[in-house]
Amino acid sequence: MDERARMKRMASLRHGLLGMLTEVAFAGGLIGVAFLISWLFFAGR
Amino acid sequence: MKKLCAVLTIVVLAVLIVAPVSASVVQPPLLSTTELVENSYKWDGKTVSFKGEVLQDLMVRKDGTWMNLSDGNNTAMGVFVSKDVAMPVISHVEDYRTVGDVVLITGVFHRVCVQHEGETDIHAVSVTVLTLGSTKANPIHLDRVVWFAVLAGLLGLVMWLYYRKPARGTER
Amino acid sequence: MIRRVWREDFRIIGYYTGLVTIGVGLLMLIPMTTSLVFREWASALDFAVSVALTLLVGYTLALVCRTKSTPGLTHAMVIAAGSWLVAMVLSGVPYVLSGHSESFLDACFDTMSGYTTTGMFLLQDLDHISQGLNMWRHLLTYVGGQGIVVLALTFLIGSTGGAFKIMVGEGKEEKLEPNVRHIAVLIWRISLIYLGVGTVVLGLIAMANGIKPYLAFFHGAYIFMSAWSTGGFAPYSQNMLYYHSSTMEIASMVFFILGSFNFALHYAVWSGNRREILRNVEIVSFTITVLTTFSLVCLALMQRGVYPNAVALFRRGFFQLISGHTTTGQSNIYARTFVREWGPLGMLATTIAMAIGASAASTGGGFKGLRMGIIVKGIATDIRKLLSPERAVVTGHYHHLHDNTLTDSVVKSAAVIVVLYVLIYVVGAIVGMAYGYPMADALFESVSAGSNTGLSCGVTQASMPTLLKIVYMLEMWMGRLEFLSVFTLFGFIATSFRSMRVRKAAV
Repeated sequence: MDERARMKRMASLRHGLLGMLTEVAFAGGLIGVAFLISWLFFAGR
Repeated sequence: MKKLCAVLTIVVLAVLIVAPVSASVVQPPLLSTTELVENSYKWDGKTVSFKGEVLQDLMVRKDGTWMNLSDGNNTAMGVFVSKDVAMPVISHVEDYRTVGDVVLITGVFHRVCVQHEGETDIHAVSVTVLTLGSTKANPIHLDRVVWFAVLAGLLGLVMWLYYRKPARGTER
Repeated sequence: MIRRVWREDFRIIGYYTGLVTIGVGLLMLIPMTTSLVFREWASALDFAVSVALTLLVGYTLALVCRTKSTPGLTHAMVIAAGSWLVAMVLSGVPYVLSGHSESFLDACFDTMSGYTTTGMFLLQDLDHISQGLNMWRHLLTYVGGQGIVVLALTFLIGSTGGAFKIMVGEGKEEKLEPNVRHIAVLIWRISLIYLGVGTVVLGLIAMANGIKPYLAFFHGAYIFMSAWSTGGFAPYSQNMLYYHSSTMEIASMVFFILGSFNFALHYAVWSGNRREILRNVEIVSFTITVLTTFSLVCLALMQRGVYPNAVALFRRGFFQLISGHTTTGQSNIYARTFVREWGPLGMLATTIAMAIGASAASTGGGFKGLRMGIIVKGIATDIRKLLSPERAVVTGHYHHLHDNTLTDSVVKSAAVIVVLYVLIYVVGAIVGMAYGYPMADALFESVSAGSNTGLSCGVTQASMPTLLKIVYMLEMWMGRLEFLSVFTLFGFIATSFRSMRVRKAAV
């Protein structure tokens, strides 16, 4: 039971960390696309 | 008589010539944050004077120092002092127990500074400490100590009533 | 048939309100400790008095109304709205004692703004307040944001309103625990982890930017709490301009974008369902509306030649817009700069972004992305129905954690709340205009209050008309609680008067 509980905990920690990274990456991506838009507005001027 | 007239004429002419010259070394206009922000287009790129109390964090960066100067109720302006401008020693910065040095700067106001990615700022060319800072009083009000004692006492009573085991376990 | 109000109802409401009040009192120990750490003795005393007063009120309520009954849904709603008001008033005491509020009403405006994670403030001379008071302001938004999420998710479990079957795991893969306490713990865990990460990251950035280490982490904590809760407070009157740092702004942006997400989404993504972030209707809606309103902002700013290059356009334009859309309210331009330089189109695009707002069950405000997605898909489905042969069965779907059917009742619930938001935005704008403020300004500020954004165009001042202050406070309150709690509270009060009259007649 101890081993299983430990593995479950490791899995949940891994999911949590990957989850946080996914979210941060998404936010970063959105910011990047926005920068692209402002760059395009100036390039197109 | 003729000599007197000649001397007078020279003096008047001298004054008329010197006066505008000295006017050009007069201080650039002393403006407030409100004035600069409301009329940002008018003052953009102009040399202005600004006076304010140095707020808590003097941020020394690679290419210069940022100061935030407070010049009124909820108004403050960011001032950038580049490395090649002489920066006096700022002995007091604002915090709860200190009144910060009041500093007078002259510099170029930018509506949207290109160097700082669109920031509204002033790039200082001269910085002088006008008034040294001092310790703030922040006195302790004795009546508040009394209030605290009274409230704490009442609180103690109520908490005792709340947490004690009821004598006969009566709870409706 | 609205049921009668009995004495036991008052006891339940009083008791739980008392418990919440005790919580608020204990919370005040944090700013008190902060002031002690910074040797701000007078400020520490002010907080000590406030702690004693708040705990006294809380314990007295709990003692007098002590009951073993469990609250029903109605009770919970009344407790939510009511304890909000009690917390608002008691939390204002430190403000008044500090001398930085012109009146008690102004102090309540600030605490209402804090708890609802709005971010407008009437505090005088913000640049000279104590660290303790700054800690209190930012803590209010963090706790307010968390509290409302817990509340929202609690109600959403029990609600049968079609639009909100977020937590119903009828035979689906997600192991969503229906237990309220468990959900609350999960939310707090995610928020506390981000609080730790955020404070460290922002603190390090502050240090790299020249702020002394022992202060840097306080700045980190303040800015994180302000961002994550989509509150928008900052320790100085210049808001994000104080830091003169693009890194600080980008980090804050990341945190307030994430803070604007639905907590059920956080839970899903943190439990292994990472694909959800791309499929979720709220995220899709948010991405579309953010990029669209930002393009409008760019159009406006380019047309007026406000910024000299793409970097400046992005740094000032996008920060303001995304701060508005997530209903955060942090800003890296002066309020008056925004009004005067961005112009009507820029202001309107930002107003629309604020009105739409963040995700449901998050710290953000506005219509919410979920409703936008539902309404747009509802319209699309109706159009499809019209274009299809009469005997064809057309059903719409939307993906939120799992695929959901777009029923008429779901669309209706979404539309009703959107109408209510529009109503408070417009009423607030009308009151502003009645006092002489220009339409763009009055509308902007009203939407900012009602969507709990907190960006200001200069209307919010201690000198503004008292009625307008009260109107904005009501907007903030109703917008945050999404009307239901507030209506239930008023309904409860009205019903209790009626019940008292009936009981008096019966005696």
